[in-house]
Amino acid sequence: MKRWMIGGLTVAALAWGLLGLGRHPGRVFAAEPKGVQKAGEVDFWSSFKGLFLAPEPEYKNQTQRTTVSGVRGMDKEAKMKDQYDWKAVRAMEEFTVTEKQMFDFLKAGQVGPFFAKKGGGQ
Amino acid sequence: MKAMQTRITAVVLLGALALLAAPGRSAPPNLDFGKAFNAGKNLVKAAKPMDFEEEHALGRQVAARIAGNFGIWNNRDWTLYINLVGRALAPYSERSDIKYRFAILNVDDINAYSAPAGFIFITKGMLKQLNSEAQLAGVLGHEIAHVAKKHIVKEVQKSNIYSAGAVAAATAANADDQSIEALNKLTDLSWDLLINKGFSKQDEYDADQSGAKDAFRMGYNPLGLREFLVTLEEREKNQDAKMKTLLSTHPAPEKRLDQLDQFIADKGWKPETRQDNRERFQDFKKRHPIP
Repeated sequence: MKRWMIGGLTVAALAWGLLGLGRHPGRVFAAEPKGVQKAGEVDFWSSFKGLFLAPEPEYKNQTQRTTVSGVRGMDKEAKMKDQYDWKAVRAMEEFTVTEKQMFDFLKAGQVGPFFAKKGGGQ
Repeated sequence: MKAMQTRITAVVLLGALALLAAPGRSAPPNLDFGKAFNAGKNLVKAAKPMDFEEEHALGRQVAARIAGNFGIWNNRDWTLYINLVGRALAPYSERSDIKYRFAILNVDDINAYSAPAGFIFITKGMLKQLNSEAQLAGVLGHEIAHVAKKHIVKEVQKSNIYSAGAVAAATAANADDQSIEALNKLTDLSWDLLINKGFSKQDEYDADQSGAKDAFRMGYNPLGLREFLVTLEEREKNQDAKMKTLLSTHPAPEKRLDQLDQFIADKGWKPETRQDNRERFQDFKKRHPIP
């Protein structure tokens, strides 16, 4: 009987602890604070971090034109302008917006996850 | 169109299989199985949609060509500003799983361009013209929409130059001349579309609506894009030379306004509840003058 009671109390204590975890930030399994994001809306920060904070791989640049190739209907001027700036493309790829820069920008402008309707309320 | 191509492919392949499998039947004397097989293979390739790897390879090449022909305005502050607005719009776009990147073209023409896979350019002239962050968001949202809706990719796929796999093959370490030539031709086609022909009117109206929608979802006044179109309309009347390319590749501003007004009215949005961030934009403009 005693064993059953001790077992029951242990299970109850574990269940209480597990159910309460999410309400106490800082604990190991605590859910991340959601900020001002409303349920069902775009998960802005996950999306932003996933897309823009990941390192950019190297890509192969391909410009060696074998022959001058025209497309029907294309004017001469466009054909002539066969110049490529791969450094500029790489600069675009490597340009970084930090999480803090984005956070400050959105918060100051009251847009994105910080959007609040003018006049108050959400 | 693609469904039709798929069906044709299926019929061709089934026919070929039936011929091969038919017992006791010899092939017609003039039938070249090699040619028939290649024709079937090409049909299958054409029917297959362009995957992201190929879109990215094409987008990079088109972006390099845009940058190479117009030149980039390397202003760190303004580049950061447009990347803040543009990248913040990305999660609200209908294609939120790709990286959008933004740069400024060193020209006074009023225009913006987008290359496949998210390479977006706005001209210095356009930045000079804009008056609020909501307007900037609307313009960048319009360009994001062209990418999200794959307007260039769809045109490229319609062409007889495209065959699936060729673009990816061109960027491989052991790329052959044929693949490189195919990629170059598709780049020419995309360039022609951006600089000379323009997208279809419907594509432009769709991009306007989608751009306004993304800006609205992010908390910007969706009338930002509308305000910019009104400015275009006024400049068109004055026959502004800086708008020559934009007007030749886009529907008339008044038509775009009609379509956008109808869309906003149908949505029942309340633009006044959204942000313009006009002061912030104009303050930034004063602190970082555009030469």
